[in-house]
Amino acid sequence: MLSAVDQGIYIALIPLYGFLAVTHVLRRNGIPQLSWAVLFLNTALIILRWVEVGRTPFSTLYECLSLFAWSGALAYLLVQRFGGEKVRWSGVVLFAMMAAAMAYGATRDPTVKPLSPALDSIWFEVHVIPAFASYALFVAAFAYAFEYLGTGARRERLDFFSRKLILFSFPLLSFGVFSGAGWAEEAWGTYWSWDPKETASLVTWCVYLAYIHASRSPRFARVPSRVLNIIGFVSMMFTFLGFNVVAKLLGLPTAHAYT
Amino acid sequence: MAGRVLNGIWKLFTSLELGVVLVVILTAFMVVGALLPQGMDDEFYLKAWDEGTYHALRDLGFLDIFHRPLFLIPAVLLGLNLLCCSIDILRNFLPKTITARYVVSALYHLALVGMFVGFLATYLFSYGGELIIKPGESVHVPLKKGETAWARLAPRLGLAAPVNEDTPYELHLKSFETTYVEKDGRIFIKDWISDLEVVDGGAVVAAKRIEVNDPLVYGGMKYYQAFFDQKMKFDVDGEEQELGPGEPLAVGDEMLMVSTVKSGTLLGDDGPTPLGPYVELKEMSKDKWHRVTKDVRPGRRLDRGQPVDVGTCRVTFVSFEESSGLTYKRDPAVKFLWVLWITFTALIAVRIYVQESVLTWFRKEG
Repeated sequence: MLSAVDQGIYIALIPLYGFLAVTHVLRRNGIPQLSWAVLFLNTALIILRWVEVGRTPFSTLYECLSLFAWSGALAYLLVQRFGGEKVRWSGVVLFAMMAAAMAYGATRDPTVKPLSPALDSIWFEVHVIPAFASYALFVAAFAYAFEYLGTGARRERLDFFSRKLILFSFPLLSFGVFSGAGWAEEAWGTYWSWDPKETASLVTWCVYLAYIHASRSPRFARVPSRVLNIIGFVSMMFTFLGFNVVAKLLGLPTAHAYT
Repeated sequence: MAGRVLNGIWKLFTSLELGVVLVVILTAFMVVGALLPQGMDDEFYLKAWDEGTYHALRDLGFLDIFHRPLFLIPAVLLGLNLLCCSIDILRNFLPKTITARYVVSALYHLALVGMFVGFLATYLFSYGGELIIKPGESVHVPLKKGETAWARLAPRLGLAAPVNEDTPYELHLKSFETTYVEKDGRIFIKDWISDLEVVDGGAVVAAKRIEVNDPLVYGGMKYYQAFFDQKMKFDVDGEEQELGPGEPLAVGDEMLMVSTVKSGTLLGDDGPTPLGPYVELKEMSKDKWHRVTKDVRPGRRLDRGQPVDVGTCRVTFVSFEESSGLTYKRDPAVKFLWVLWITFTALIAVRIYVQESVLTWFRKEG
């Protein structure tokens, strides 16, 4: 029963996130009340899944994509609420991505499975929650970066928002990467084994590190730092999702693939 | 003249731009390292690529990129860049104005430099290996000190290289157990548990039931529950076949996949109950590239000692032997790295999350 409700909400969220993207095309900031209502529904989905699986529901791709959509939308709506900047294209990009994430998640196996022995640890939450919080903020930062491609006049202001979001999320990403290393040390005795997914996460960390420094350099502050912002987003998405596909296609040996 | 050169080098190594460029270069190499499987044997690569591609990539150093000068030189330069920037921050701001912001900034840069030193120490001095022990068995653990990077480097520096030796103590496996849980009619592994004792001079000096994510630490060495090993014996129409995990069973003209032996304790709502031993037989499942894949669907159950008919053949799961798979590791840098990791993360969070007004509260005017 719970499983059917869970899957029903999951599928319903695809057109709802899509509709939020459309509301942003029609009007700056979309319809905030509606955006919050959809976020509330996604929150309910996560809680329901939590009850259903009896542990934090962040282990399979089906679960992680729902968390990704939720955290990305939350980060965006909080910035929209407290930042006071009216945006259009960032909302379109963000909610379209969330709809796509949920659509991809809906194709994955929703069966509830117990955690594998390696994942059954307190490190699971310690590692996953900050990493996802940082992903969410990077998505929002990218969405703001996307906005100024079309609005030259407000570029500095949107650049400022994007930089602040990345600065805010960088310690979380650092914590996510280093706690992953700490967990690997506890579980396998090697804190870093250059596994492709580990390397991809380090690439993301390095790109955002370069972005933070480049955005303070007089020579790199404008175009190079904006390019790094976009590369950072692509790298983050690759670490989270693209890697799974590439690892399967290239037959890369990894201990970190999603089921 | 020399002063001008040194000044130029100092300026170069304290520049933000050098840091950004080095991070971008390292990132490019990491992308290569993430997309090309690293450090595998020749056979692995030759299955995937033709010989020309393999040799080209290997000669470029792309198949072991993280241990090549191509990657290590920019990494060391970045470490130096970080060190110089940290010193520069302290040097420029110490005499006149000390703001907490700059002290915090210098400290987390220094913590990052320390982490680079820690990674180097791991690379040079850490060693470890794998052990497969049967229940009731005792072993002296081989300490592979002679296989570290330091053992290769020391003779070049005119120093004595460490050599391989065994631990003076024995590691004894009292018992090995697998626990399972049931979900929707399917059985899943919950954990592997090894009951270990460290025996020195005939006396037990340490003991622990280790499981995944909970190792035994003794004498600077950590012992991890990593895997298990099984050997199974089958009788197919009077002919005995011995298999390891993942090896197929020949039944008549057919090759069948054999699951691992399910044997141990089932943790249910009514308390623990014994499970098995039994295996499941499945048809070989292949992907579109004809590679054998893991099939998660339940197969045909074979309990130990109970023959069943599979096609025209009579198959009996005769017996099995199970061992615990441990990894062990000694890494002198780990504690140091833990401290630096916590310091770095805490300080970077302070630097970014704590309002500048709070940080500048500590400001001292010179």
